[in-house]
Amino acid sequence: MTDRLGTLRDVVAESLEAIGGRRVRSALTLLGVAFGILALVATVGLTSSAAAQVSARFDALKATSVTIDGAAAEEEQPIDAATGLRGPAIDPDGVRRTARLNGVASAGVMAITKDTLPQVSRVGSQVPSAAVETPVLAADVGAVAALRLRPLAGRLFDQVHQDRRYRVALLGDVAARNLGIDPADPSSVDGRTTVYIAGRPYLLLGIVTTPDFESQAPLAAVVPEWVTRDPAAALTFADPRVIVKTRPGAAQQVGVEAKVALDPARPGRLIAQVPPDPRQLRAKVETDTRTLFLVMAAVSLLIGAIGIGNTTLVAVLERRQEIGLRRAIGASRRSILVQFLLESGMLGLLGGVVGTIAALDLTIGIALSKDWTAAIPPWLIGVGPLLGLVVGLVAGIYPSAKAARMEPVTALA
Amino acid sequence: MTAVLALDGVGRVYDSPAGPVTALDGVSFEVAAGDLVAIIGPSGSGKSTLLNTLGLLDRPTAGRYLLNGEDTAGLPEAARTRLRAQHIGFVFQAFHLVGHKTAVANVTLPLMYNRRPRRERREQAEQALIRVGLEHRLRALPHTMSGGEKQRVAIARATVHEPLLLLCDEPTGNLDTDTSATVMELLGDLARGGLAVVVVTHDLAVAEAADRVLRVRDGRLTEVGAGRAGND
Ligand SMILES: Nc1ncnc2c1ncn2[C@@H]1O[C@H](COP(=O)(O)OP(=O)(O)OP(=O)(O)O)[C@@H](O)[C@H]1O
Ligand SMILES: [Mg+2]
Repeated sequence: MTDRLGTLRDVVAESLEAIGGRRVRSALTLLGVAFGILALVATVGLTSSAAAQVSARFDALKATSVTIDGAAAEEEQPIDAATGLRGPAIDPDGVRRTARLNGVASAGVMAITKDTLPQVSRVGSQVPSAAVETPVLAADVGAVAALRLRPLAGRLFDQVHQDRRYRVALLGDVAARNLGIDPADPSSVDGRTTVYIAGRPYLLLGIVTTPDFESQAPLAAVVPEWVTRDPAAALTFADPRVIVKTRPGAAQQVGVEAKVALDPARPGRLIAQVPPDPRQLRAKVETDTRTLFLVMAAVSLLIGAIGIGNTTLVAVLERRQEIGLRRAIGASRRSILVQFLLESGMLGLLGGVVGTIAALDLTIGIALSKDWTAAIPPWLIGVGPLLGLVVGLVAGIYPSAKAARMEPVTALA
Repeated sequence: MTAVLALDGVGRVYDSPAGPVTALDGVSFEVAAGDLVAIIGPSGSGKSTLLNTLGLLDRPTAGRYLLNGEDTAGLPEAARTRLRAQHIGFVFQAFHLVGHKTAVANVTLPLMYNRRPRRERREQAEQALIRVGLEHRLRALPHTMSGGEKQRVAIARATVHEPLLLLCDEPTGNLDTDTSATVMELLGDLARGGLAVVVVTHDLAVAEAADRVLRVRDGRLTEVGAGRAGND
């Protein structure tokens, strides 16, 4: 056994010596494989990093937002004599059922003004401000949570404001700035400030922001849901929709179940906008970009393999006499085979190592320049050199077999 | 004392497209330890074929070849390779040094193929190079050496593992007269040290340094003459 190991060590040493003895040619040869491995590892590394980036951003917000359209009754609801409000267009029981679904963090009804933008203005302040055309977003308490509204100053409205029909409003931070109110100044919401929306006064409760830019909330004045049903509000809203914030990973399932919860009789007429499955999205990003580059990487690896095979073949022909000499002084056919196989294998391995290092540098460099976190799968670091080794070994099979078949007498001639 | 090698009616017929070619025909002789034997003959007479047969690089098609008392006829390739490694040293006209190896590394090769322990190899190789007068060229690469130096490295390599038989095919063919004389002196010393040495040569001056001269003509030993031994 130790004898075997000693022999293997000898053959490895012989191969390394032969590679080292022809440095320039070895370097040029291994470059072919290095480029192939570089392309391969960088492709996988970059697409992994890009995909990780996509899902990281995506997971944060969109992956947990579901919107359901079409739940509003088509005909206008009658006005309740006691309250002076129209009845709710979306069945409140359905919304409550939706909020209780597994995987739902909060759910509610929201609507946004359509057609012309209402005038919003501010009085009760020394600084005169002109009226600003601003969208108005009506939301119940569940929708306020689902929209992830967060007060920068003052507070959010709650169920009491909704139930008792208080005329209160929130201003999105952008809208507030348009009205000359500094969102960063806590004293700008003092409990006495009134904003006028379409000529009607509302008490300013707070200034809000949200990461959900698609909701328009930062640009809007936000009022309690009951305002959409108040004919006196003089506001025209689009059909209300149900907005749901889900727990991570639950969006697809909630999208299906919420339609049934909202309209058990005809769930099919509702449209749920669910985010694409982040896993699918990630896979799509990976496959789209990968396929092309992997094909290119495979082509350059093939060229690298041909390069190594060719160099080894040339080496075998050039070193014909060396092979004859070795055979004459006692090298077995197998030891010749192993020696040349190891030479090409090691060229491949070195190419793989060089290519992998270059690819990691490249991946990290690009990731840094794009402010990504480089997400390099750990297995990739091992696969590059290993693949180089395999390419080298495969490329060396034919030339090495040719070397081993040589007859010492003819090789020495 | 048994002969290091003994040939008995050895023949070699090559198959060629033009029909069979008889390279050796009924060759019989013995070489003992300490013998320096020269083989001479015209081109194509079969000298190299004979030497390759002695070196177990070629198989005779007739007759018996005993190396160190062992009949080599039935031996498989692996056993012949092992016998070559252990008992035979080769010196060639073209030196055949491994180009990317230093003198010492070239000389360690037979020790490696004989699976001698690594730590002994370098020391033994250096000793062999010192014996051929190359103590100042231990780390030299072949392309920096003169022909005489290369051939001395080759002789060190052919003898470092203490073989029984040293086979030289035109060892002085690429050397000038003075250098040839040095190399032949070296071979004579090795023979006197107990090695059986067989030298194929065109050079009559070289043949004269031998104990015996075998003349080959058309694959036959036509004459067995006396060289140095006869002149003494
Ligand atoms: N592989 C072979 N196939 C066919 N014929 C061969 C082969 N090798 C040698 N011969 C023939 O055998 C004969 C002896 O050849 P050999 O090489 O032994 O001669 P030699 O005495 O060494 O000649 P030289 O002095 O030119 O080296 C020649 O006729 C040669 O053509
Ligand atoms: Mg010849």
